[in-house]
Amino acid sequence: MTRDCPDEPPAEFPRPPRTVTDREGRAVTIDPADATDRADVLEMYLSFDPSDRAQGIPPANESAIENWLDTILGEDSLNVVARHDGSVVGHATLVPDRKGEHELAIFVLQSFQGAGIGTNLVETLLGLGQEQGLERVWLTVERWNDPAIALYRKVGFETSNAESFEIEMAVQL
Amino acid sequence: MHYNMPLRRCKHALGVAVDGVEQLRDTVGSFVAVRWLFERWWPCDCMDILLGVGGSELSYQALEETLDRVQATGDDLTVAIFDNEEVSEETDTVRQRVEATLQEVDFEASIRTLDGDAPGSELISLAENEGFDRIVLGGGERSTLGKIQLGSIVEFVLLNAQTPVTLIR
Repeated sequence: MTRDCPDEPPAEFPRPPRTVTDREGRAVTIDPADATDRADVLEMYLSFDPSDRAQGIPPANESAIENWLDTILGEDSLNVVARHDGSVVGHATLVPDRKGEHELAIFVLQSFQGAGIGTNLVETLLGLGQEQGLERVWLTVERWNDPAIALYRKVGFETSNAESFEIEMAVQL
Repeated sequence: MHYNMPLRRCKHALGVAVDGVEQLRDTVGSFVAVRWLFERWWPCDCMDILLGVGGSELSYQALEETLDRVQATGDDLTVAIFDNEEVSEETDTVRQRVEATLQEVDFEASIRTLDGDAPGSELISLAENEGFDRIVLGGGERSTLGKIQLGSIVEFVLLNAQTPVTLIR
């Protein structure tokens, strides 16, 4: 599998903590998160609409979600959460892969989608990644998932492999 | 399992049935006759399964699970070994491990090696030319983050096979 690196110089991404107002006028804070935020993150995933799952995550049942959170809230990962009125409404994570790069995933609760929170979450997570000295971030996205692909493009991701079922995109930090 | 295929004798199911009969043969008296009847008339809609193993962890898991399944159903199993570019194992190593696994459970399966550099295509040709009922592959490995991804061989088989395909994960 070849992975082309985007040529343009990396952008400067905003760093957490941030407070943004979404397109519905809701105040949303974006903060770094770790294992201490686990209960709140778990609560978000328990109320997640199964039809919004992507490539098997978040897992469907509680014990599988618990196992998954062990990995993504682990010490080697970077996380940010979006909160509104104290509850977690969005979560983005960077998990190291086997090649020393980082894979990104993001989830926003259904009732908070389409309001710009996802874009802010991804940008802020990439800002945290820059702060921590990460070099390359990649993700895979289902071919038909146009809103997600548009979001990743807007933030600076470029397609690095389009030969598989899922499109692979990457950004250099 | 209800597929359009002719009924045919199935040696594994027969073997199981015959084991039971064998213990009774003294009382039955004429084991040879019973066995002959079984072999001739025991109907079975067993399948010919073609399992592809390329040396990934998931492909060995598929082997284990397929063995459990064919032992229960009496299906015939052929294991096709191929070189998966995405893993580093040589086909000889893969073959040895497959043979060892078959020996462990004392199951007889044909082993074939696909030599070319397009294993997906060769697997499909083998399935179609020799009338296999089903192709089985390990498919849907998870990244560390947890996302399910399909390798290129699995993808090729899914998109091109006329034979039903089962992915084990």
